[in-house]
Amino acid sequence: MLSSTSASQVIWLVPLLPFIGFVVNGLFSLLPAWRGGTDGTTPASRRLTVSAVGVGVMVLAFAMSIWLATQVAGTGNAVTSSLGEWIGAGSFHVDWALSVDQLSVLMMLVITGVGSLIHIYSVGYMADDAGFARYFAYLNLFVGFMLMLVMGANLPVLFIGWEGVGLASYLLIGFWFGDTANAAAGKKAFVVNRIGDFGLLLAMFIIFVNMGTLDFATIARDHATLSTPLVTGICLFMFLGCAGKSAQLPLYVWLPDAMAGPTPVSALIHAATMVTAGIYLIVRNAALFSAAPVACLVIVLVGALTAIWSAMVGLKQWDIKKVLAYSTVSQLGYMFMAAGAGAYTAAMFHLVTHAFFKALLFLGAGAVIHSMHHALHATHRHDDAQDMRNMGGLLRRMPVTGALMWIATLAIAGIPPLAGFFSKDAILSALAERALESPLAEASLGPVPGRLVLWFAYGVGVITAFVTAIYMTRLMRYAFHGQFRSGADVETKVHDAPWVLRGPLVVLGALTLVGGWLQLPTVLPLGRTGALAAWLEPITGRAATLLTGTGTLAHETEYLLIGIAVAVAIAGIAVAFVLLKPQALTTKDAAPAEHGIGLVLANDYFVDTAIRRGITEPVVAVSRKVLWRGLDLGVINGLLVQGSAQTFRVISAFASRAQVGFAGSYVWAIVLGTVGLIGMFALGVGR
Amino acid sequence: MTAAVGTGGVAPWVLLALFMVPLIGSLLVWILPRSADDVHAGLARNVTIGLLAITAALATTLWFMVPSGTATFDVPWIEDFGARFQLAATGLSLPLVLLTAFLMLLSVIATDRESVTLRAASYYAQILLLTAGILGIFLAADLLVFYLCWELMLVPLYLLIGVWGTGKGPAAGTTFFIYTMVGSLLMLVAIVTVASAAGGTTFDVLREMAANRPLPVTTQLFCFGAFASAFLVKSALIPFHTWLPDAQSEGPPLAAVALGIKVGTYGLLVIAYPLFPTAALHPTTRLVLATLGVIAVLYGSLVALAQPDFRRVISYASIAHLGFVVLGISAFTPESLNGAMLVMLNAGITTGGMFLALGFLKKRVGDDRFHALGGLARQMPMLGAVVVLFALANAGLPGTNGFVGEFLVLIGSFSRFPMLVLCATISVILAAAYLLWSVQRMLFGPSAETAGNVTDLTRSEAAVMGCFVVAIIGLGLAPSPVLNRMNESVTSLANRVTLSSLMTPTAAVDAEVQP
Repeated sequence: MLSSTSASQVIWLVPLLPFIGFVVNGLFSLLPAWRGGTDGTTPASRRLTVSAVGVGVMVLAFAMSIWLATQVAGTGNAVTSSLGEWIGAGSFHVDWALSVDQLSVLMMLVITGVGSLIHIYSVGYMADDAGFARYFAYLNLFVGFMLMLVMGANLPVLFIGWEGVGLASYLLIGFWFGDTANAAAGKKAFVVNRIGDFGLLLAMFIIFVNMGTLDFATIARDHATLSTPLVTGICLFMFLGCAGKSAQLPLYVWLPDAMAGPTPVSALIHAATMVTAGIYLIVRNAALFSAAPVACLVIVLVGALTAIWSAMVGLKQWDIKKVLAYSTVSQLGYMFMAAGAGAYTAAMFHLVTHAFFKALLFLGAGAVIHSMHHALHATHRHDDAQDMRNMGGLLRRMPVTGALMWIATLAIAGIPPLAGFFSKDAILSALAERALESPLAEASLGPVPGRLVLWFAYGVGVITAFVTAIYMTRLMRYAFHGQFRSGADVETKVHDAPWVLRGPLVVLGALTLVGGWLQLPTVLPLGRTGALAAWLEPITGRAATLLTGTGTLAHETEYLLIGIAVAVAIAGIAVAFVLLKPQALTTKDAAPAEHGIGLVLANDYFVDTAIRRGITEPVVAVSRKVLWRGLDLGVINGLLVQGSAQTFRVISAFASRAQVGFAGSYVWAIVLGTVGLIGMFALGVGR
Repeated sequence: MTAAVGTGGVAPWVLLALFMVPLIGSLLVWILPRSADDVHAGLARNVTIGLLAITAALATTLWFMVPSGTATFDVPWIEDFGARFQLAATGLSLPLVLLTAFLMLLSVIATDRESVTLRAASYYAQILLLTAGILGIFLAADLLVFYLCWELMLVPLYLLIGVWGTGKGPAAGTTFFIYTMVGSLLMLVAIVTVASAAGGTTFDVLREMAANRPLPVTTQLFCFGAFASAFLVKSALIPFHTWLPDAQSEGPPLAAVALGIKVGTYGLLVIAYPLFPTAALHPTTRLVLATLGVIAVLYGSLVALAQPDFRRVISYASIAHLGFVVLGISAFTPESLNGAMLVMLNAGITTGGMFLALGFLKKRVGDDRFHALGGLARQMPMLGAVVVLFALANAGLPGTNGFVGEFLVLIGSFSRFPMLVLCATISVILAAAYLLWSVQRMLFGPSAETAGNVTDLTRSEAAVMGCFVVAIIGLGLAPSPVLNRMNESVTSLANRVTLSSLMTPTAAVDAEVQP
């Protein structure tokens, strides 16, 4: 009890630490006296201070998260703390309250753990950048908000984090704001996310009006008083928020553009942590979602469609980061399939393993880009440092990075015994299990039976696994194998990353190797099975049973499912090796134009163009031409105001002097009247 | 001197001083020695800053002196009308009084000496007069005092825009004047009607009448309509809004800041609702007002997308904010009313801060339309940082003041107008779009040629901006001191209005309808 009290006193420090880092490094970047270098670069001594602050607060926050995890493990209870009221008006009351339970502490470990590694990596990656302090300020700001998001004990506190991470993401995507495209990508991310936030806000309104509270604990306890259609509505609005933040159809369009930011940012925000906030929100409100089977089926369906939709696009991308971006969208689709099907453990499991191997892939890609950029720069070339057609054979030049990225590739493809195999298998097995027998299979989505939706999701999941193996192998082969395509002079300048970059890669590689042991299936007893499920049992256990059938899969069925998953992964890799011809590639500048289905996929089905032509441009055009020029300036100002002003002028021309005289004389009348009334007041006082 | 000046203690005298210091101060500054040189302009500016600092100090004193309930200054005035010179500080007026005092002070500090060369003494006298007028509107507890202050605010604003504005200032000033004048005349008619029925003009007498001898419904509807028109024209509710962007972008920054103080919706809530409860809470009235509010939210947001410069974007954004206030008032739940009050306060802060920041920019670059700007975050990182923060507060980012008010309005209005709230919530998307697009065109991208050697904020400019930053974050993280203060007054007002609206004898209605 004593330890729990002290824990509750210090949990505020966890998000506070990165916020302090933000303020300190923000001042370093903003105040002329603190800025140091005058020529736009950051002096080494200042860089050391900035990194010490930026990385220091992260490591401290990570250490505190570990300690909190032991506290939660020890007592089995959540550590909570409230600082009193934040907003109170009428019957609406929201406290500044944090709660650290099994679910949030898992997220905190990922955020601060992977976050610390990425901060360390950034020290090397951003060393030459003029905005070094600003970068670390933003990165710390992100972590602070992300921690608020997962620690908040009610929806509004979560919402601070929710929109706050969007802000940090906006700032970091547009970090190199000199290029309008980068700034525009940041803005796009924020605006598209706000479409989701619209949904989350409405979910909050409905919950408050019907339940009088926005606390997670109370919602989970009392939601039974709500009717099923109401819960379904709440869940669908909430899912709109998730789709925005976690880049699901049709709101995923911001994420590929978000690759404009520095690569460590893509690793931290747009792969490992922020984009998983939608999964977290669903699992956090598992009690609510499990009471709305229709909403659950919608989520499964959207997740499945997103998974295959963007995996296909990944097949035709040339930018190494874009491949990973579409891959992230696709993998998030897997997580939503699991979360929708009530397989909360599988969703969280894949969230964690994905954080490991996708962060590794992004940081590895960053090392490649970093090296390519320097090599091209040293040879005064202006080629694209991120285009895989300009690479090739990098394994010889960057063996450590290449080997580690191969581990991550095999993991995401689903090759045992790597982390991705276990988590993807957990999702596919859960889908098959629920399709065979569960309340969710008995429910229906409009005219479509739930069973069909679940089988469809399972099938899509298997096909997507196949496609995933292809596009990832394609990436590795084009970048790391065959001949280097940008010339020998550049090739000799390409080197493996320095240790400050390689260190975090090695740690993530190790986590990718062993991450699967978090949640071993019962049919593969290579250690303690179901550890993560047991850990999350207090949070999601009851909710999961509402959507799960009574029986478990027969062992033969499970072996069969595992066999299918591994077979498609191997098949995908094999197909990529047989069909792709890296030797036929030319550099980006010499590459032939795409056509047919390749053109469609390379341009992401022209979704961006369609949105721009169909929504953005018409809205702005109507605002400008109809509402502003037409109504405001034309009808109201032109016709009514000018018209009546003319009338007044005519009248006042008859009455006395023209034009200004009208308003002018009125002013004096008022002034005189005021003086007179003040005089009366004075007399009144005297009496 | 009559003994019964108020509720006892020094609070009534502080109240009087709060109104009188800027009022008498304006005469003082007016008669200061004048010449074309900078010395006298500097003197006028320093005296004005001193007087406004005293005003702000008095407002702060009053805030702490009246922790709950009200303070009243009350002396007989024009007894033939039953008018008394009555000022009162309540939970509704105090936050806005504090806002006004500090906004005006900071605006004058932000106006540097060199920027006003034309008739400087007169310029500063107008500012003090304007301050007195706005403070009087918030403090008035008598309808005649209110009306006088309402007119008092009009004159200096007209002159500030017309004389010290840009080349298009006179036209903008005249439009502003005509619009608000029409509203004022309507209000005057309503005041005469209601005062003669009640036999007095103090709020107490009027409220007593509203509670016990309600006016016939048709009279109420007429008077409510007249007051509401005056108030909503002054607040620039669509379709009476086009004067605001002109006035705010053609006038000096200070006038734009003052126009961001929402006196109109304050009048609507504190005068029109309590005096004509049956008309105000009539379902049709509520629906009409709420719909107008939501139209303002969406229309303002959409037109903001199309504006050629940042100041006009902020003007249209404040039209959208006004829509939130009107929605919150018409929904009339304790949450939505508190939210509406908070939006009024917040809009003053964020709009004010933004106009001052844009004034700093305008001073440095001649042409501040978007197509002439770009990449300014490179040369002006501090200005860039505050503009981004103000934009986010404007867009209602949680953690800033903007969120709390809008959230309370929306969540409080949802039970009554779910579909309208759904529509209004769309503005969170539009707000992000027009604000961040504006930020992008001003601060990011390649640097514009014209902006070769602009410098970042000076120390005093940074200090002024710092005050706004503290207010924005402070009210975002800890709005309770303000909300608690408002909550009591809002709840009692809501209860009184609701009760009075129920107590309207149907006989009066029948008498009106049947003869």
